[in-house]
Order: sequence, then C-alpha cells, then structure tokens
Amino acid sequence: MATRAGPEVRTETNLRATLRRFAYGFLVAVTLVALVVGKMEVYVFDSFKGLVGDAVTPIVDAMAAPFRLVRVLGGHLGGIGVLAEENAELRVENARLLQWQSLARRLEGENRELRALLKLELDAAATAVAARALEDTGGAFARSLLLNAGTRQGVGRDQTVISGEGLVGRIMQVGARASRALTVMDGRSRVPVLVGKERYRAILAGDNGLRPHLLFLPRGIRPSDGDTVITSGRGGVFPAGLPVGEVVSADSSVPRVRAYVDWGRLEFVRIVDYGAGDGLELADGR
Amino acid sequence: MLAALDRATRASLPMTSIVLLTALSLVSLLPGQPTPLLGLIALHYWAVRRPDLVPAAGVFVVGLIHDGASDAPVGLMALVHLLVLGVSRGLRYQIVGRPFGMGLGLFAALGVVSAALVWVVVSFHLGAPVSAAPVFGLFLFTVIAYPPLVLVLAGIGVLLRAGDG
Repeated sequence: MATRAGPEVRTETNLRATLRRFAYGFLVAVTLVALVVGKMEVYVFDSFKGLVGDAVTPIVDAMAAPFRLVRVLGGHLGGIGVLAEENAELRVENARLLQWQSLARRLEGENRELRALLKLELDAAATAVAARALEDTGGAFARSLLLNAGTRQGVGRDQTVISGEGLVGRIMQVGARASRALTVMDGRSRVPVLVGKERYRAILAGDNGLRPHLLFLPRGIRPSDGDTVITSGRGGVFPAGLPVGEVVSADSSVPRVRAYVDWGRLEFVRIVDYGAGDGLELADGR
Repeated sequence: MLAALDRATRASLPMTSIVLLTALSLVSLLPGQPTPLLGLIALHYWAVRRPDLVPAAGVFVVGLIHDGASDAPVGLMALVHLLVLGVSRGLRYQIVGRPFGMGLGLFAALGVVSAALVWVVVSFHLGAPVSAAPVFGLFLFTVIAYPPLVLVLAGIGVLLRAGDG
C-alpha cells in the first residue's frame, strides 16, 4: 500500500500545485484588467468604492476609538502643565478678537447697506453637516478622506467640505452612512482660485503631495510668498471667497500653496451645501 | 468534533490576522503620519512560514477591499498583495531557518518594488507624475514596523505549531 500511496500523493500534489499556479496567474491577470478598466472607465468602480466605504466605516470607527481616547488623554495630561500660560495667552487673544468682532460688525453693516444700494441678491442660505474624518491614507494612493456621514445625514455629491481653518475639498463619493471627500491635495483635484491682493485667477492643482501647485497664472505674473489664496467661485462648485492657503516657494518654477488646514490635526469637518451645480470635473473626467 | 473546530480555528489564524491588520492599516494611529501597511507584513510572514494557509483568492479579496477603502485604483493593492504572496512563497526556502535579517531584507526589497509599482500605477491613473514622497514614506514606515510586528506574529505561529503537534 505504501508503494502505491507515494505516486498518488505526488500526483495530487503536482495537480494542486498546477491549479494553484493557474489560480495565481488568473488573479494577477484580473487585477491588471481591473486597473486598465478603471483607467478607461472612471465611473465603473464608484459604486464598489461607495459600498466598501459604507461597510468599513463602522469597523474603522470602532478600531480608531481606543487610539482617539489615548490621544485625548495624552492631550489632557500634556495640557495641565501649560494651563496657566495658555490661559494668559487666551485672554490676550480674546481681547484682540473682541476688537476684530467690533470691526466685523461695522463692516457687516456697511456691506448690507452697499448690497442694498446695488440691489445685490444674497446667496441662498447654506446648510451644513458635521462629520468625523476617519481615514487618511497619507497620500500614497490618494488624498481623500473617509467621512462618517452619508446620504442619511443629507450629504450629497459635490458639496463643499471645510474646517475652521479653510477649504478641505469636496464630496466625491456618497454612501448611505459614509462619504469620501477629495481634498485639495489630491492629484484629481482642480480648484479655481484667486491669488494675492491683485486677485489673479489661477487653478489650484493637487499632486498627492502636501502642497498643491498653481496652474494657469496670467503670463508674466509671479506671486509672492505669503500671498493669500481663496476660491474664485468659478465653475460653480465652490462658493467664492473661501480661504484655501498661502503661496510658498514662489521663486520655484511652479508656485506651491500651503493650505490653512492643518491636515495632521484634522478630525472634524463641515460638509456644506451651497446649492452648487455639477460644474466641477475631476482631472480624470469624473 | 471539538478537535476539528480547534484545527479549523488555528488554520484560520493567518488569514484572520491579515484581515484584522489590513483593517488596522486604515486607522490613523499617529496624527499626520501614515499608518504602515500592517496587513502586508502579516501576509509576507505567513506566506513564508505557512503558505498552505494563505490562499491567493483570499489575499486577492483583501487587497481589493483595501483598494475600495483607501480610494486606491481598484486592483492596485490586490496586485501588490499578490506580488508579495508570490515572491515570499517562492523564496521561503531561502529565508526559513536563516537569520532574521534575511526576512527583513527580502521584505524591504519587496517594499521598494511595491512602492515603485504603486507610484507608477497611481501616476498612470492620474495621467501625471504624483508626488513620490508619500508613497515611499508609507512603505518606509511599513518596513520599520516589520520587526516588532513579526514578534507578535511569531507568538501566533507558536499557537499554530502547538495545534499541529
């Protein structure tokens, strides 16, 4: 019996090894086809990504909870030592902000009067949803954020995503419970902007790095370091006047922009519906 | 019956650890820093030590879900996972029983190739070269995370061997 078992076992092993190699080659071929199809038909995997986003959001949220707790506790412990110093700084800042508040109220009044004078119609009131940014892949594959709010919370495609500091990006995919925001750093993002006090028009283009660059500045125009960059409102997706960042490395051939948003500390965002149309297109046509 | 259940549970440990660590890779552990591809480390470890318990179809599905969850071009991480599985399985006789540095060296080499592959595919998808720093940074973090994670996985390996005995 033992003499018969040897070749049988070997034959089965050879067969299994052949099948395994065939399955491996087949799966590699499937991934290559998927990559090519994804490049040609950009919409084809959107629903798949939406479904996966919906499914993994609660899991990622639950797995992230202990790490969030540790960060919060660490922040509290670290904060106790500098409480008195921070308090003094906040008092000074508060006094300064009160001055700004009084100026803002005066300007608001002036603005209202001038609008009335020009018979300018105000924009429709925007509605907003708050969401937690759950996952950031760090830019290796994309610069998008998974958010724990979807259609059930009123989130829709192309709505603007902002933080307290400025523009984050816009909603690209929406599921029932989760959505994905395309940030201004993503290689697919193109945002019409105004640069500096002279308000030169340009396009802010991401490349998955931390500092997106400015394209299509008027010929011969070179912005300076520190020039502010705000949305122009062209294209109809982003409202005009949202702060985006400031110009850095203006001397280089391609001026870059440092966003006001602190990406490393970004935890909550606001998804705002300004009633924008479907004007914006991604660089890859989406 | 209980013995069969015990065997099945032990046999599922490699794939379970790959799935859980892949899910953990999607969580932002340190603010502003990319989370290493922990699932890829587990995949390399088990493909070298227990290739019989790491089916290509399972690895493909994990990679595909990673693509969907991380907004990568669909098929990219599935391809990277299959690459790591194939190379690690093929070179396992050169690693098992050798110094730890051999395994780390192979994984680092796989990391460089995978990073280059990711950069090429993402750039191809966007139609322009993307910033290389985030891609190579992520794989560098992954290689740095290899030694401590392998210690944990070795503990699971002890459980598996106990089941085999």
